[in-house]
Amino acid sequence: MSSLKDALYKEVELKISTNVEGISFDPHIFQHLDLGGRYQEVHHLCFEMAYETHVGIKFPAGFRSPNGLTFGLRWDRRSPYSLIYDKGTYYLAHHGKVIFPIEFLERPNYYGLKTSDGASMNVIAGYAQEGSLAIAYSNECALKEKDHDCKFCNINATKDTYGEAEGVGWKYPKQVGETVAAAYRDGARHLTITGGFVAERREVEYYLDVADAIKEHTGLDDFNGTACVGAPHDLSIIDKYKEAGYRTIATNIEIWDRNIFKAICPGKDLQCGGWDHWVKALEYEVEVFGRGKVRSVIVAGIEPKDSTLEGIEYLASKGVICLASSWNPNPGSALEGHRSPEPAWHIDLHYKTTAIYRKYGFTYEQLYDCTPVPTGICHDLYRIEDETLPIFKAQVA
Amino acid sequence: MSDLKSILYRELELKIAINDEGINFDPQIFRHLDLGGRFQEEVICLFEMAYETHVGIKFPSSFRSPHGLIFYLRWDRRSSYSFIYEKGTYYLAHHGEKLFVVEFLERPNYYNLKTSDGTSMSTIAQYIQEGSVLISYSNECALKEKGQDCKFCNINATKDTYGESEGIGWKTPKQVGEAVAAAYREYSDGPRRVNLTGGFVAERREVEYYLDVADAIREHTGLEDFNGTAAIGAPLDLDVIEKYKEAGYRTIASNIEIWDRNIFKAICPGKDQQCGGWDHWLKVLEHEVDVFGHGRVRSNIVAGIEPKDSTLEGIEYLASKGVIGLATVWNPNPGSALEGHRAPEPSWYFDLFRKISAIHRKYGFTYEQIYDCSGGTGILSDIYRIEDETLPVFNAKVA
Repeated sequence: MSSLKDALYKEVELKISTNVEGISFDPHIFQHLDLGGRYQEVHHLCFEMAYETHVGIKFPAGFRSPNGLTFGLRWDRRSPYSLIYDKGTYYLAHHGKVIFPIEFLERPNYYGLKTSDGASMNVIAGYAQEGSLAIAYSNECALKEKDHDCKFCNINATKDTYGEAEGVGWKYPKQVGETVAAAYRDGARHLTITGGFVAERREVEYYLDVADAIKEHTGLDDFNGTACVGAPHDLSIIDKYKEAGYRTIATNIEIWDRNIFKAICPGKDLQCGGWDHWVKALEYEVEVFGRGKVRSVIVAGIEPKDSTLEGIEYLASKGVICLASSWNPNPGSALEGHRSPEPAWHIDLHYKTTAIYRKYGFTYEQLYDCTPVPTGICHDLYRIEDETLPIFKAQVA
Repeated sequence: MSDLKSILYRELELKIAINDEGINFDPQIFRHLDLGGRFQEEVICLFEMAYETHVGIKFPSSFRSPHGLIFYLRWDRRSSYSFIYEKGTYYLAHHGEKLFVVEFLERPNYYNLKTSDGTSMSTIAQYIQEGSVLISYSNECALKEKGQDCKFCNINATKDTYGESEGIGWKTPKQVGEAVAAAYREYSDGPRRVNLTGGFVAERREVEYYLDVADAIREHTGLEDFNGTAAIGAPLDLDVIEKYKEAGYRTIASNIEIWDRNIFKAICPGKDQQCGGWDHWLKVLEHEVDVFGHGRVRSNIVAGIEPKDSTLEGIEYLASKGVIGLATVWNPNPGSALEGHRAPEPSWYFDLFRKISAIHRKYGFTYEQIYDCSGGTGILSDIYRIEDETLPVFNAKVA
């Protein structure tokens, strides 16, 4: 293995570790950073991922490692990882020892723009890097009405904490269309529409209106959109998303073990026809959208690893790209106070997951098109293995 | 709250934190300790609770805090808690700062004795303090044959790692009778109890064994009521439960492990599939109360796998039926299917234990009942003894 690849694999492992353990810092450390100007800030559009809430104190969205991997920034004051500021440079450290200097992410231009009704575009569409946008049409979930929230999820708590303070609320199709158009003009090329459950499952009409608005404002018939939806009772609804122009679709099963799914995702179980129906919906989505154009997510670390891997392999065999996202027991979720498995557990899982994708022939482009964050671990591993990260070109040059 | 109580609660929080996080130390630190002589060594007869295995290296079984709480010693080199040895004294430290002097526990005399067939009694009956003895009749679990081990359990991995090196194996009733008699003689001036437990036995033949063991204990101790707890898997035939009562066990335990019926299915596939399912476990526990009485039945939940609300719902439901539901701190053990997972934070557990203790009070369970079912050094026993001011340190203060 080349020494560059070796260095990148080490950075990937560090990226996983800092995601699981978080990073400790004094929030005042960013006083030297042009946050919201040159550098991109976090907006709580769906979930608080930090260990503690921090209303009114802005953090950077993430940073880049020396070899160009994009790290998320998850605040946790208990972590052995920390940020150090010294003579104009920020460093990532472990137990106080500097690991490397970091480079915060530049703010996209559209974050400075407003929609025609005066809404800040930065609360309409979060920039997830590499040209990808995450649009949470709603920052609440109707499952709470029956106390059926997923136990790991803090969307409703996040809304209560940050909704008003950050001006985050329901997004109108026109706002979405205008924002996407602005971002696409700057080079963005993929978007995910997502959010909590809508009361009475009325999301389909909304998704179709949003697709129309995006097409109108971007002028693109294929705008490379992912519709992230709960499993509909009536599977024929899935065809409508395809007809509306979404290139990919996502239905997040969250937990593979059917029994743990029942316990952890009571709403997804009771209000969507149960685990079997989720699997059926995913398989039908592949019939409609095609192999490698359907995504699901498992929140990894709640169920045993074997179960997660069994799910990822089963779904891959059916043409579904199932991601494993590291579980962060969030403030306000029912599982607050629990802890995610050790970083080594997650590292092993990510390597095995990526090997499964390769086995079933999924391409990097497919991964890019159907995932909300194109800088995930599986993306990194593909781009290291295939030597397609910019750093490889830089080395040749 | 008195100063002493408030100090004891702080020690209790530390006990929970250490149980959860473990203690970091260099195994060589105990070279100054007369382990296996004056001080009691750990005998790994059922589960390795440390983060790493340590075959051939003996650790102390546990230690006492300045105000008399008994702390378990769980080795974890990643922990922020550690031991420091300085000028003949061992200290517990946090982030390198000394918290207090620790006092390792004295070894019971019967650990030096052998049964009539030459087996060391220390491998037959583990002394778990306060007059309580633990017998693991078997150090393996037959659920593995069908790949149905509980996912948090490492009994079979522990046997593979330590069985031969520690000389642990199946115990005959006579060995148990002799070892319990020796322990009971040694601790005759206080409360005494014995807990008989172990993995599932092939074809569920444990009942005959438990009856033979009860006969042997009665014969060797001369006690008709030897204050024994029979920890058993839920039998398919409820009538079997009467037999344990008739055999002389004072209390009985059937550990449901997980309250949420769906998570139970996933985490305890053997207990689900080979014992009639979660509903049958409940039926068994309720029948055990019919036979043994209110407060004389125990069930354990491995806390931290399911949401806290579910565990508390289970403890409350069981209490309402007369079952003392306990919670143990989940330690994702080496060799278990959940190795690499992590238990919740210490504060999660502290809150849980305080709430469980309040439930136990609400349903009228006494310290004696908790002792008889589970021994006297668990977190819930500590809370009772702090609240009731019955720990020895309260007498010491008055004197």
